[in-house]
Amino acid sequence: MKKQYFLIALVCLVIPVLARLLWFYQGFYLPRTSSQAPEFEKFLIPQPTLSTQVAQEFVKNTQRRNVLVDFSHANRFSLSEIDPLTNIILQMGANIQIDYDGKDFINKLQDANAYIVIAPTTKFSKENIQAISDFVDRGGRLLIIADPTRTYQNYYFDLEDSVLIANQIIDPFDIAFKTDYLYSITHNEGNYRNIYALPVGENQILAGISNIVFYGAHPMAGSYIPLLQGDETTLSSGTDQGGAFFIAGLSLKGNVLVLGDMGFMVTPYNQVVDNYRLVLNIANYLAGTARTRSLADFPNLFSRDVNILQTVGFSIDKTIVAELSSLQSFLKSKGLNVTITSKIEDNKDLLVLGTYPPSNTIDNILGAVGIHFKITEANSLESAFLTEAGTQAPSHSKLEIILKNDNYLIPGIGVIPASGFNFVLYGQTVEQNILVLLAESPKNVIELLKLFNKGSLKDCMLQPNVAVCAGGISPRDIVTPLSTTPTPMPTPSVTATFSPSQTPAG
Amino acid sequence: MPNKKEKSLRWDQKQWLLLIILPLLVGLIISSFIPNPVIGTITLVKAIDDSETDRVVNQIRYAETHPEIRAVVLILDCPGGTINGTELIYLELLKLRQTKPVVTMVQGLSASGSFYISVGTDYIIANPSSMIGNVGVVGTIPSKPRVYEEEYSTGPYKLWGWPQDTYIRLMDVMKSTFLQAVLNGRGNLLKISPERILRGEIYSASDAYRMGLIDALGPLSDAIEKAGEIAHISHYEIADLGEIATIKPATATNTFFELDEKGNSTGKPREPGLYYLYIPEI
Repeated sequence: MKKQYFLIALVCLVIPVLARLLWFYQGFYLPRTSSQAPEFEKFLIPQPTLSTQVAQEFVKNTQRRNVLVDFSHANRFSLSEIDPLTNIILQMGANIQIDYDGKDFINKLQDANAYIVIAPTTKFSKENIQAISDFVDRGGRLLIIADPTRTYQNYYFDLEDSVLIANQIIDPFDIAFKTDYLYSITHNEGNYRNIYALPVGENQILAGISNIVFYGAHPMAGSYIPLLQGDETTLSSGTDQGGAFFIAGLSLKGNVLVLGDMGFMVTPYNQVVDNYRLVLNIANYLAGTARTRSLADFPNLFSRDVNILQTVGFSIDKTIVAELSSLQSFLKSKGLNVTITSKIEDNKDLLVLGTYPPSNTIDNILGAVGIHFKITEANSLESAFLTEAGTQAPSHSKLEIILKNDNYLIPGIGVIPASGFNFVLYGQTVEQNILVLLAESPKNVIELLKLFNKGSLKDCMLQPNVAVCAGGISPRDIVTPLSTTPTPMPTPSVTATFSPSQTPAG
Repeated sequence: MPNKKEKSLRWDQKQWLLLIILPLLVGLIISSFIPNPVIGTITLVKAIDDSETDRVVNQIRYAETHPEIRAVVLILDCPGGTINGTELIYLELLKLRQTKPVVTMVQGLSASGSFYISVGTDYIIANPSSMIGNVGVVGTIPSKPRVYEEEYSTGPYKLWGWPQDTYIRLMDVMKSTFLQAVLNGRGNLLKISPERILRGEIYSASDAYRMGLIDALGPLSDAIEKAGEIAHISHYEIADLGEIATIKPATATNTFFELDEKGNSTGKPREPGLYYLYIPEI
């Protein structure tokens, strides 16, 4: 009985508690999933694979090579950023010239071996774009870079997208930068916009390269020789899709190098994988060898110290020396020395003064660069023209200036009387640049020397290797063009045919 | 006169009192100590900075130390904020979830750091017009270390903290931890790849639901019901933890975002640094 009473009491005690519990609580909470924080300590800062730098020994190249860097178009980079490239160029014995103001641009370009344009944000004039195109056609090398991290649009200050401006420059070469950028989510170097690129084909620019990282890159479009392609994980920001994306390429003629990124050459990214090697190869491309020049580059025709050759029958008097002093100043400003000599020396450029028709000595010198004066008695004026560019050239390219009666037939220029004019003749061998000034008479040589003061041959009729300049009247007034259009001459590529150690026989 | 048997069947008042009423009363008294369950709400509608972090973390701790709080609903309308604040709130919520469920209710925006926090909760519900996602890190790169004439220090990174390049790479580490938090929190519910997540896109709530980034679309009442369901409670009260914990409300003054010349927020943080933050470029 007592037990019963106890149970009743207990039940009465428990009922309100249970009722309240069940009213509010229908079970126990168990965490739905094992909540797990990321293992923060296991995440490491990604580090790039550094390149194994090999000590570089540069073959001493005594030729003067000038690399012109554009810094006059509100370019979006600092000069210190391209130190890795410019330092190598300087170590190679070439010069770096920064174009800060764009003045005398054409002259600067004539003097240059290569021209670098990086991320410009103000427009180039049409004249300058044409000058760049002509420069490339004459053998100059152009490096042009557009970088998606270095573009700018601010219409209040007339600054524009550097891609648009760069594309205007490379349009003549049928290449363009695309405006999207490349990225990779799955295989990148520390950030989605740092992509890996692989070499395509074989080229000197790719020597020693198996892997490159670009730090924000535009792809290219057009007709070009592809060099570096984004790997299989690379996507385009324009489509978020993969594809064949090329970040570096050469124009079809090989004189224009187009790069969609600048970051790879900037410290410390130039130390990553093979980036250093790419910078080295680009420096070599720009300044490794002196470019082929023509009279269009006048007066920047010399790349070594210059010997002014005295020839028999032509003496250098005080009036000529006065003009030569101007020439000396000009060449001194380029770091070149001038010496009057009676001997042709190896590894020095040559300036020869004389009259026409040329003496045997001068004829031999001209023959070394494929220029010949020929006297003919033929009834019709004919000349042997240089082979056209693009066809298989013989070992020597020839320019024959034919004298018949009292007229000269000059390919590309026409028929001119054999008096009243002066000639400027130019050619290159492997070891020398040779400039020959032939005047009607010794005193007219001074007129030719004054051209260096003027700094151009704009008053002359010009072909790559021969110019006809006024000796009193403009050649344009009396030159008779050929009835048939002469074949234009490409810049000759010749090997020496005479020994530089020969003393002039007179 | 009642006989003995009748006497035994009839309780007298004393017996009633002792066997029924008193125990009932005692039972009632005891049951009154059983707290009414409360679902606490924590509201985060500003960018996560130091003061917001403190405010939220204090509310989380209040929930943790008060047994009557049986579940928490985290109400979000937030673009994210500092990495430090985000991680603190996230970790505190994970700890709270050991004892009580946390349900996220997105009312407008759950981007970047805000989304990071939400994946550490039991369940995510969003208003259909909300925006969800934006996984990743943003930051302004500091200048390269250099020396000044008038300032001295004892090491090259004493003033800057680290090389510029390391700072950039640190973003990748934080991105990876963010991704891992999403993968851990959403698990098999995710229907998109990690690569897709890392693109940093922000999605509509319905897209986010289809992708498995959130669990349901619905109003706040759904979130509260869900919290109650997971906590196995009913007839609960709802309370703003900020009020019941007497925590100072968030200040109206913006101290996080940079202001333009007209005093309007630019959406960009005032202080340089790395953030889990959604900065729409307009």
